[in-house]
Amino acid sequence: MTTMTASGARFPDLVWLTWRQHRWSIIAAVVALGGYGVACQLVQPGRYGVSGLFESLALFAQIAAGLVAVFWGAPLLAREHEQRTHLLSWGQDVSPVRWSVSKAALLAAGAVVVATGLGLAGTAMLSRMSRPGNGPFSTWGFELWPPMQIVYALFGLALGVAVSAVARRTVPAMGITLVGFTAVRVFVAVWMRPTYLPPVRTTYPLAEQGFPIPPDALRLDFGDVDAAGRTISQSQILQCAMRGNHADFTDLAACEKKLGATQSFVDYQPIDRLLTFHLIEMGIFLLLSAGLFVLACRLVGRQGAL
Amino acid sequence: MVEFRVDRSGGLPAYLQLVQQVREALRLGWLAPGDRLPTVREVVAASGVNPNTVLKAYRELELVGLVEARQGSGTYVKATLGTASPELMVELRAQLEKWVHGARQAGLEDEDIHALLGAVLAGDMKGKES
Amino acid sequence: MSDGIAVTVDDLGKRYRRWPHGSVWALRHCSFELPAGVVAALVGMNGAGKTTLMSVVTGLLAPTEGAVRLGDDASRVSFVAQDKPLYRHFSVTDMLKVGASLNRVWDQRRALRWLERFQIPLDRPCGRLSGGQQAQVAFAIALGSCPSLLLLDEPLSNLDPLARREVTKELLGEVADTGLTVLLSTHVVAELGGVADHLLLLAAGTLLEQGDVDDLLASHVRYVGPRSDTSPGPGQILQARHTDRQSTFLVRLASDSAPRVDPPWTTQTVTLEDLVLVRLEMARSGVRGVAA
Repeated sequence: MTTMTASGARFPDLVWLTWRQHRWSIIAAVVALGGYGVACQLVQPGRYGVSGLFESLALFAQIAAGLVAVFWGAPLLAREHEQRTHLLSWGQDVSPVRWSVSKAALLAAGAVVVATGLGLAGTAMLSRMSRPGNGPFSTWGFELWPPMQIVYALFGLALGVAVSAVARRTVPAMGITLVGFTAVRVFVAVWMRPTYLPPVRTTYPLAEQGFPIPPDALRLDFGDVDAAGRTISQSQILQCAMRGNHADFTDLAACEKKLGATQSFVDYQPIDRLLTFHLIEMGIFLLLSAGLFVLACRLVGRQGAL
Repeated sequence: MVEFRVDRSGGLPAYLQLVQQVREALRLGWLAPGDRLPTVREVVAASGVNPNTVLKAYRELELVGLVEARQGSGTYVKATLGTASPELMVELRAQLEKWVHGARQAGLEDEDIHALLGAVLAGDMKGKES
Repeated sequence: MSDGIAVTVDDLGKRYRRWPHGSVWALRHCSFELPAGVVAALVGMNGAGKTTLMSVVTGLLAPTEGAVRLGDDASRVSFVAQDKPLYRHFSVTDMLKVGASLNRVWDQRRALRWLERFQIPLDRPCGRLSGGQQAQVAFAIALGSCPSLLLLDEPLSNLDPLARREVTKELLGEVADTGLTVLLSTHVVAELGGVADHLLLLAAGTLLEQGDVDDLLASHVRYVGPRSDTSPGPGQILQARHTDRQSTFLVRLASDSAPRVDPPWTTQTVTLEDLVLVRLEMARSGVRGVAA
């Protein structure tokens, strides 16, 4: 009486569903990537600093993974809850967890492609600029490296999905994801990255101009040390100098003497640690991604999900 | 063929309504032995009645011997509702007409007559049971 | 129509946590069985727990206690939620493809037949269909997945009277054709006669009444007669009403007893609506323990 057609619920079916639901955001990402690649080609070393294009492009690469988080990750579950379509999608043969994992995995694959393209274009642009301060250990240089871009995008997606499983409303989920993503990225870049390994310290005679560190190294703290090797920080010296009425260099030199400074120091991370640092930061974000992803799966699989 | 209808808000169970309608059709000669009753699917499609209700009604009719299910071909009317001989029916009807006439003379309206008849029938039922 | 059991629900309970207000039981101590092939009506007022019960049976919601067991021949469950959710930007054809993609078994012709019967345009985005048409798409997807147990939450609520009749008829046709078991929730009892053969009456998360509709109607009767403080016949009194001259008793008969009153008392049949209203009233005034 009834005719059963070929069975569904296989991987290609879920690929179709993911594409059908997210095609516009995927197309938008690919178009944006193409535009980005073209714009990167327009940046010429000679014209650097005139148009601001270079800074804009580098900045965009920094926040691109955040866009994946906000526009791909956050709506994934939240929009289903909001429009109640989870009652339809999750009541079929494909379990809610398999549905979520498949869609997230497919979007993750897309994110990897987009992030790779972005990283390659950005890194190429950066290397053409060949300017001190844009080296591989600089914030831009470090973060535009394609594998880093991939890891950030994966983290963004996982964060967005986890937030959307909790928030269940699209706009709040997007907002929370944006704030959370930015906070984590800034915290890691500013507070954690310099301290992945104890820095190397070089001491040099007081009042010498410039920092005697190897090229492309990541410069961290600098200041003076006394005869016993104790650190005298820049702020101590400045504080001392402020007590005199004119804080100029002569006073600084006097204060250095007064505080017992015998030598200057500079802390840095040498360039040969670059790969180690990349691996450490990738490890941090991959762990975070995995944790968030497992959390999202548990929330969906708990079935309290209505 | 009979067409069933179900009073959705009525107190009489739906299957009994169907049974009654078949009995009525037999009594009035709309159904005769050998006639096929509509299939369950046909009743559902025509009247929007629960198929289980139709089945239950047909089973009931089968149990009292009014219809029989023939394997694979449907449900057929087996017997008719032989109430009384035609002559007796004519006589009873004449008596009732006379009684109704009397009731009207006494000022009873249709509703009063129905109520009275119902009460008598109920009393008669009680008498039989006890 | 098989003689098996479609679903067994055993001491089911669902508690929602409502931080910071503690938790509430939306459903408590619910036990029932649905024989395969029945059309069961889940009746209750808004907030009685109908949607919670359906969500748990469907598997979308995990019960806090108790269990749901599906019968051997009722392993495929479909659920149509009350708001008939669809992807608004998907065409009807795409929605059917969603159904086909998410199910191991899919009958495209069955789904299309349903849409054709109700003349639903296949190429239009679901968001631009009327509420009634959206409901038809949701029904088509549910039937396309070839359920043996179909749960419908307020299925007729978006439909005009003519469509209600047609949908009811077509659904019953599906029951006749496939032996499908249906559980539909509603608060319009008046439309159930001849449609539902099984009743589950839910109030405040508790099952008040359940069973075969015909049996329920047969075991309840109303005695009408002169003013009296005591019931003139057998049966447990569920409701007694008095005017100056007249008394009415709605009683539940023991399974083997028949209504028996002496004139001038008369008996009247009870409608499903009477029964439901009386039981809900009793529940509201705190009378719970009516022995089944």
